[in-house]
Amino acid sequence: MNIVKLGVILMIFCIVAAASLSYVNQLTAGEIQKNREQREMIAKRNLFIGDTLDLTIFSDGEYKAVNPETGEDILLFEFKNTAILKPEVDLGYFKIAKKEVEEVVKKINDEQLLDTTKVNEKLMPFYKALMEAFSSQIKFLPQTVVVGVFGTNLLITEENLPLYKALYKGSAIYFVDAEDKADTLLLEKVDQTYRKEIIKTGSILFNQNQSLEFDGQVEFPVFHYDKAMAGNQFLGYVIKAAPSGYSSNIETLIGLDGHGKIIGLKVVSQQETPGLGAKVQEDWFQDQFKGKDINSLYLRKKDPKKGKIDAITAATISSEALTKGVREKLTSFMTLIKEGGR
Amino acid sequence: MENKKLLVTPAPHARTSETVTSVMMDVVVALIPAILASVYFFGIKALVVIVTCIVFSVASEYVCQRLMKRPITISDYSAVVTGILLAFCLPPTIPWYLAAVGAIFAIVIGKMVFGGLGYNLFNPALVGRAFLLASWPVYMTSWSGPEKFLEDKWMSLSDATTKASALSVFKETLMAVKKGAPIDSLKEVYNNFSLSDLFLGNVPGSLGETSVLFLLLGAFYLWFYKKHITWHIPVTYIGTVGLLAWLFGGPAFMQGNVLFHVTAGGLILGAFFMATDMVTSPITKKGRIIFGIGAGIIVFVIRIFGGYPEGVCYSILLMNAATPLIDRYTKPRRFGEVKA
Amino acid sequence: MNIIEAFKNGLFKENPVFVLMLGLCPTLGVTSSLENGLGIGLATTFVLIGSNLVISLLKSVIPKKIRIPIFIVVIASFVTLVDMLMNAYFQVLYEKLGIFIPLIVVNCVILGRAEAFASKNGLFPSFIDAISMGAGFTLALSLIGSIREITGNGTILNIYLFGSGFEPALIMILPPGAFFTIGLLVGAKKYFEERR
Repeated sequence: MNIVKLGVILMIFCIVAAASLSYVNQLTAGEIQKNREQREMIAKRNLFIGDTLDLTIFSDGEYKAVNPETGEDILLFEFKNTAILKPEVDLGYFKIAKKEVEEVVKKINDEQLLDTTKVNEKLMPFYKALMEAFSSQIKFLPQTVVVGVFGTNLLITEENLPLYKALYKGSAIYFVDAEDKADTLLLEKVDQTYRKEIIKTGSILFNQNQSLEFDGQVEFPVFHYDKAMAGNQFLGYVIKAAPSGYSSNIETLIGLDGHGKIIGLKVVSQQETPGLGAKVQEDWFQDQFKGKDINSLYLRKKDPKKGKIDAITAATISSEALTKGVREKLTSFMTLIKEGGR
Repeated sequence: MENKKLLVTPAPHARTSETVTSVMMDVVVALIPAILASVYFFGIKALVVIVTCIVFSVASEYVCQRLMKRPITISDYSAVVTGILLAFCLPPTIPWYLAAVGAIFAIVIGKMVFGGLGYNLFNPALVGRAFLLASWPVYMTSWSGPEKFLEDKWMSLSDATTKASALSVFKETLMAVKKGAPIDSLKEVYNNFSLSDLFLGNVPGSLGETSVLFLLLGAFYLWFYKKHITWHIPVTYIGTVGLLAWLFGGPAFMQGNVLFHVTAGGLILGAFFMATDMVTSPITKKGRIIFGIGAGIIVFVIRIFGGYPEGVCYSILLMNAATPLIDRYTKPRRFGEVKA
Repeated sequence: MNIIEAFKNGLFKENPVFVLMLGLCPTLGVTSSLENGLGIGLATTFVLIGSNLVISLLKSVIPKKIRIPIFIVVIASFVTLVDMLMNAYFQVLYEKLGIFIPLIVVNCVILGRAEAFASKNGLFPSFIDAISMGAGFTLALSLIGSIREITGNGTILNIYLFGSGFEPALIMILPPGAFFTIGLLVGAKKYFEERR
């Protein structure tokens, strides 16, 4: 009987521990998930901006309007994981963006623009105005300045194509909230008719559910506004590579410009030998990749003619793995881009 | 009178005229041909490395024994032997201060920490080499080629063209073959190194391990003339590597180049001068045969499957670690002892 | 209970690493730099305080025969708790220490103190014991970490100490370096104690 008693006591302890842990888990799970996403987002952003400029992440913001007919809230704009430069570097972006959005929302509400039959033509100027406002102020427009497309009216037609093109050039538009049907239609339309043109300008349209799949990993375009240009300029892509090194997979984010030249490279996680292979994560090694393309992504040691990458001394396997992995990933990705799609 | 009393002493009773000093002296003599050969092939820098290793080995033994308040035994030449053997497995281009660090580590950590000569578990010279290899792999894996006698590079202390040693060429080719290069490229490696060069030591490599001929001269002096070493370890060790190389080392089964695998790298040096070290190898004949075969298998496994091109150093160190165990299982039964 | 005496005990006389030889697994594994050593030292101290307090509180409820499994349950859930809370609300700290926290479960310093001290003493002495033992552990790990970082990487807290000509001995930040450092430090400690 004694053993039963002891077992019961142990059980009680376990149950109490499990209960308190699951309670805390519930409390923290969302927060942890958010933190993880933010970390990855920062890593991606940093490829383009560089570690020297610290980024601040703003929490999500939703901008809603009331549908005058039904009285329901409708999501208009959503800011998601929006990165901006630190205030001392660039004061403009968030404030202005927020102000502009608020103005647009107010205008929509005031003028009761949510007349579903006319939403397309009436809303487009506002989107355009919004984008222009962004364009003039934003130095770096990250993945998701998000436009909530409610309903089904925002399809690409012959008439509004120029407008769309202008918009897509300026930023990545992320169709979050549109109904499935609309999304599919939109994408199909783009696929069939205008895909090539859009790709030529450097934009790839994608949405949450149908993002550009590449080896099972999500890639997304990143855009950059350059005042020297007539319009907005496409900045590049972020792709992931995880070549197997000496003792682990070296998970790497690669920032590319439109011509396949590396803008930045960041090893996100690896378990290589400390002091040897682990040096792939050191800045001097990663920085070597900047400005290189597939033609020079060879180890100088192995291929003295083409190679522009110095191997980590005594860790040739890790250096070679990363160099080769990045090169192969780039080769297939650039083929994909040139062919114009999946 | 004192000396008329019956003296009762524990074993040993039978003594030889051999002393530590005389044995070590013979080993030094046996190593001289290889020293001369290494200086001839690699130039003045080889001499600098050898002298540095000897000086720092002896000096650190002296300092250690002073600090530990032990009798000073530097005159028994054991530190000299350690120094020479360490220098023999270093590449000629190694900076002198790294050679010195290796020598100090070999004596202090490899020998004195265990209690001095006779108590060390591992061969001190190889401990020093393993330490250097793990710490400064760059220096330890860039060899320089043989230089022409008395020409500029021969005389120079720093100038040398780095070349890959025979075994590192083999290793890289093997890696390429595993990733899809034609298997016949292995044959080319075998053909690119002429056996006479490998035998004479006219190839890039570590100081003392390239010249098979002069190492064998010294080894036969120790083996047949002085009888300090027995055949068991060297023959089984080299035999195992040769057999495995013939069976699995080539492009197909039973097509390996035995002579290449035996003469390239440090096998001869290791087999005759390091694996046979009296302190760290098994006592019994059966034990020595096990030691030789085990070390041979490890060398081959490292050369074909491992991360390093050469495995002699680690094979001997690993078998050193297994020596107490081997001794325990091969201990002859005492007279009258009943098997339990 | 003399607090100064307790600290002397934790830091020197019964130093968890150098004398009790407890928690050698994390010691060997993560002390490749001062930052890592300090990090796991502090994280362990934190969990040690928590587990000592909980176990000291519950000592009358815990039956003798199954105390070890119960200690482990308490310690493991405490570590998990700390891990989750830190990950959620102390991001900056978690990024520095996060990888060490799950390792603390296997650290026998904590189980050792729970068994040897907290289960026999009151709340306050257990608290002091946890702090002093944690301090001793942190001190030892920081010492090993800085020796290995200086000799094996030429840096301290990622600041380069020597000129570019200095070639650090890589082996010191590889696992063998941990064995060398701990062995030599224990040897040196014994040597000076005997000389006294």
